[in-house]
Amino acid sequence: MNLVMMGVNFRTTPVQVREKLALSGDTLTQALEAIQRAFNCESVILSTCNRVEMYFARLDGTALPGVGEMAELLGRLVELESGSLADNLRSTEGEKAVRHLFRVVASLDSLVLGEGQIAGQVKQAYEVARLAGASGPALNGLFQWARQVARRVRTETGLAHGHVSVSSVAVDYVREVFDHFDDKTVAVLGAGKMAELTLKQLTDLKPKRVIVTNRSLERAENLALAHGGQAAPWAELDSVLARADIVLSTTGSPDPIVTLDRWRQISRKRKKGRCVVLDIAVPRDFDPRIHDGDSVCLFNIDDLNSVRNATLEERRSHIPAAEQIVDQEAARFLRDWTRRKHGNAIARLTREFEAKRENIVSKLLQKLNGRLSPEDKRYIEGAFRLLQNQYLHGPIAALAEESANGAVQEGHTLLDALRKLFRLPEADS
Amino acid sequence: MDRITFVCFGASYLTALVLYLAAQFNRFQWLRTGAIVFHGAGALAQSLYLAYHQPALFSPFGFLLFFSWLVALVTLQLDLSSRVRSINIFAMPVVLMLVALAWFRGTAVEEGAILMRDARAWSVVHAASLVLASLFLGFGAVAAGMYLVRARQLRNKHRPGTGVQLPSLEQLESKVRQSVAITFPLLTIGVLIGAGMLWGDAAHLGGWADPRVLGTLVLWLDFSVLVCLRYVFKVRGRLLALLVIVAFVLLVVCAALPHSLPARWHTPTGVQS
Repeated sequence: MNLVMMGVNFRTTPVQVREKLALSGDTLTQALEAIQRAFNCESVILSTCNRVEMYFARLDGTALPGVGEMAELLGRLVELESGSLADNLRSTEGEKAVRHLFRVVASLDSLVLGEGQIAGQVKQAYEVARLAGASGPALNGLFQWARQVARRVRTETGLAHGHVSVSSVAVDYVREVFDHFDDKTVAVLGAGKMAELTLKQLTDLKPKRVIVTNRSLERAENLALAHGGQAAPWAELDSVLARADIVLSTTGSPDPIVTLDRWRQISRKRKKGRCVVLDIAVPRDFDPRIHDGDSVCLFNIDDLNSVRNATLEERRSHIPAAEQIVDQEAARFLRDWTRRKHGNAIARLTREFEAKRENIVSKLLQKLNGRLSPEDKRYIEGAFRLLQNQYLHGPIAALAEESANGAVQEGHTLLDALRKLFRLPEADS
Repeated sequence: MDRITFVCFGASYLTALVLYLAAQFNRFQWLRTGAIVFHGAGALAQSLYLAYHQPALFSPFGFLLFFSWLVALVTLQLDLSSRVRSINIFAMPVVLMLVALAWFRGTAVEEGAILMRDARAWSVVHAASLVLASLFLGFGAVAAGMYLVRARQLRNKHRPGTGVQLPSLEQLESKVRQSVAITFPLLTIGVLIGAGMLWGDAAHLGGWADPRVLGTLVLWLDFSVLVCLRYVFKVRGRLLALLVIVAFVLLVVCAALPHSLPARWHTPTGVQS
């Protein structure tokens, strides 16, 4: 298959280069247009935080852009020195490029194994290329197949099971305790980066009320404002905790804020029954003894991290199964690709032979006009058709055998031989 | 029809339970499908058995068999509607226990058996309210069992999405509370009608010393205490779940007790498995 993948990713290239290469919106469309103008080939560009990869393909065997040419073109687009770009660009082709795309879309090549975003990003990259008219029959088939691969890996293996970010795991625990959130109050202690990240996930649950309290009221007000909540002075901490169903604690306090005794006092004031405490502060803000798994469920950063690590470990155990699916699908895709390519060649070959046969038979019948009975005419036509079929049987059977075996040879193939022997045009076959 | 025995539906339910358990820990769809097929087959066999033998509802044998059949049918419907997928892991042992108890009682002499077709109107209301109360209490006990397992998972900080898949703690507690709220009035109606019947026809009925009457009275008193704890002292969570399970155990014991009714109301022959 005439396919090349060229790009950079988090394993091979530092973020300083990746961020300069990142293409989105108009720049991405410009790049696709520039590639089409310069090399007249199909292209799709996948640009995410962790990778920028370009896929080029052609139906015929004409050479695709090399690393040097692409580095020069990209260098002009993103204003980078082409020499350093060429050093960073990695390239694979043919079957390896197909496998690479399938591994990427299955999230086997992701920074966080099994993360779900990449399949959507690949789909989006393909849609952008399709709308820009940059992709064609070769890449359309490949990227549509890639979506199937992502689906198979997601449903048939446990590679995408569970959550691996601390905030998502925290929300999973909250969901195990509460069923609905429209009557729940979320209290946030602290107003740092971690509070913001986790609060974002918690507000997706659409709680009734968000109260932020912090030693600096101004910071609490800013965070509350950003998430449609209200701020409360630090002095009202006990009353905030007494009203809360979900507590998110992320302060930088060196000592525990809520001891067992203090919690007991707060519990007496509580009108609501159950409370989930997400203590993701280091050092911890809550005494772990308040956890009973019934009226109070407390999860600290170690609990959340251990779930995260266990989930990642479990995902790793599914790598062999996912790789097997990738291998199967790559082989199936290439077999299908060969079959379709051979199908075109066989049709072309048969058409050409038929045209020639009809031409010769009609000339022969004209010359013998009047001397042949209708039965003789049918016999001659049948004899020439038989000759054509017997003559084509060998090459067609050999091509069919090659595509059935899935043999995808690099370099000279039966198809190339057939093209040369019977003078078949390349683009058509 | 007479070839359908306890073994038919008992074995079907047992197989369904094994498959439900396996389906919880495996991703194969056929396990769940198989479990539902066996569950359905068991329920069908039990329906045919009940239709053919028409056991006396007031006898321990008939009551336990009818009660287990109702639980099996409702949990099958709940599973098919995919609302609570793990419910049968908890409900199926209850069904099996009730079937086993019925089988055990069925082999003994049928004390106080009254066929439904012979029963008077008040008896029907009495029986219906007690059967419904039992059904709701049964589901309350199943929800309470699920609650205790979920609370244990959370206490041990298990990994979300692993182990037995259960609804949230809040949802389960709400089911337990609903069961308490519905069971008590039904139980009270059943007990009051029963008491009225006993009062008005003491000569023919077994009297206040009837084991089933005494057992039901104890159950009602226990449930009154439970309701008092729930609504006056705001008992909730694990303790409430435990109390509901205790009440259910009392109910089963009570259901297994004989109704020593007069001989003229007895069925000519005891229903045997």
